[in-house]
Amino acid sequence: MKKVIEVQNLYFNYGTKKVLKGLNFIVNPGEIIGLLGSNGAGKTTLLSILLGLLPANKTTWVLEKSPGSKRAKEKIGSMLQGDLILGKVKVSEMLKETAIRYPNPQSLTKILNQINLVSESNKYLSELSGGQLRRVMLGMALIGNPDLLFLDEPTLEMDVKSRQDFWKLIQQMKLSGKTILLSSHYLNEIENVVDRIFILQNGNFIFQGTFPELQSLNHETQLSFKTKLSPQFFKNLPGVKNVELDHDLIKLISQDGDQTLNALKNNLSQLKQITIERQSLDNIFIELTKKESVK
Amino acid sequence: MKIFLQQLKFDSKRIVFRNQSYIFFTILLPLFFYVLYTKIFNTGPTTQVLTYAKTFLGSMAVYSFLINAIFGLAQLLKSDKDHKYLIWLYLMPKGYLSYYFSISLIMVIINILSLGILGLCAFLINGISFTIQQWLFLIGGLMLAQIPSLLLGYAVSFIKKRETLSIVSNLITFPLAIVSGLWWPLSVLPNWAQSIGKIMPTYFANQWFNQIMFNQPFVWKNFYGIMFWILINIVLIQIVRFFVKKQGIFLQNDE
Repeated sequence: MKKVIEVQNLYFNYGTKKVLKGLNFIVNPGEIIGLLGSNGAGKTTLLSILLGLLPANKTTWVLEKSPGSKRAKEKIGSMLQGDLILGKVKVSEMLKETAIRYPNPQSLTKILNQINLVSESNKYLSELSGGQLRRVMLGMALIGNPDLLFLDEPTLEMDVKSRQDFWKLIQQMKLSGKTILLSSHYLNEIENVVDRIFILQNGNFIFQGTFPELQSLNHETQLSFKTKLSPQFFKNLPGVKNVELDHDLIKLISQDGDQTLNALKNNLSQLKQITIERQSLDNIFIELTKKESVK
Repeated sequence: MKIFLQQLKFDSKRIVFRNQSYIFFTILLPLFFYVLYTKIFNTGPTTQVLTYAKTFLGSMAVYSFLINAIFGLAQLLKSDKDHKYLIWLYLMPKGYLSYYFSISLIMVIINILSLGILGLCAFLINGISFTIQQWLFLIGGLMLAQIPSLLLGYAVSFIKKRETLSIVSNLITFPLAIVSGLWWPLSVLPNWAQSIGKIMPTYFANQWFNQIMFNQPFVWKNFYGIMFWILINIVLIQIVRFFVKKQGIFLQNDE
């Protein structure tokens, strides 16, 4: 199987500042990759290199071509951060202007429908809201009928409805076999869409894998309930790491939720308003990046 | 060619037809000054009045392309860069060559149009007329004489901060217009200012236009002067581009 992106030993410096420190990864056809990392982690630098905006090493390949080559560009669509607010340009004109530059563009009507901007097609870009502008940018990325999409913070400034529509569209792209590399700050949003996630921290990948694999890095579960039993009783239960008393609510942090629940099965009748929560993805991400920062 | 024509249509709409301020500053403002200085403030013997009206026509044509280059072109390129339009063009398979050709052609057309409108106005209000041959020479002269200003406009568009660009544009345009005799005759300036003025590209352009309008013999000095400034500006652009290229293309400053 041909690889869509192949990167070996990629380093990049801005002057003396080391931004990327030897990245290695591959992206297979049809995969959707979520690129995560805190601000300044190097996400945009990596995307810039893959798009040919910054120089790459000789072992970086995009669609089996050097990044930035004409043949690669014909099959790539990109949606960058920031909006292209050219004064006095209409939505349809901007999309037509993009379409003509690709060998096999999609129809304007199809794209306007996909980005849900049919009624705004004759509006000037400067008259659109932030979310609508992002959708125009998405339309520009899609109109060339690309095999590979680079999306940098695609849902930034979009309202809830636009975000939902956007992720539906990405699901459709996935079904049609497009390969997508997207950067985002919103883990919960991309959870149901991406196949693998790459977490970038200080120029290195601190995690490459699927969401279940990420979740398995942290087994902590929080059990909370009201009870007349003493908090002391719960401290010795298997798996329990910590017991907190919040007014009349007891919170157990367990490293093995299944084991702790099993031990509690004989006392379930004495527990009221039980809630069980796994560690959220956001918390796992924060913990993971915090650990790496300390290192 | 198809892409170039589409780009030309796209740019013409956004830069010219839907942008009244651009037309105002590059065409109407020099025209306004021409009417003001040759019809309202211009008094004296008829021959002198007509000579001044003819001379000032050349000056305003030069002033128009100077404004167009330093404010119009530089601001446009800066704005397109700031809005990532050039990055976006770079990411397309066809690149941005058609963009630069289209912008250049629009600048040239606007400069010719400005000269034509000034000429028409001179004919209507001052009765000044030129032969077809003079018009062709004027357009030919304009084609070459505008190049140093356009190159300078391109060079200053690399200035990072919009505010700095605005200050630099003002610092170039108005002193250059004054020192090269576009507003007042050079003789009213001190000697040291005259010496500087006489080596400026706008001075050579103005002199060249005057020779054509007054049917004087061709003076090579003006041609060489303009060619010299074209060369200087090309070198300046290469230096600027070298430093910009060295920095790479940034999508965002903090990553």
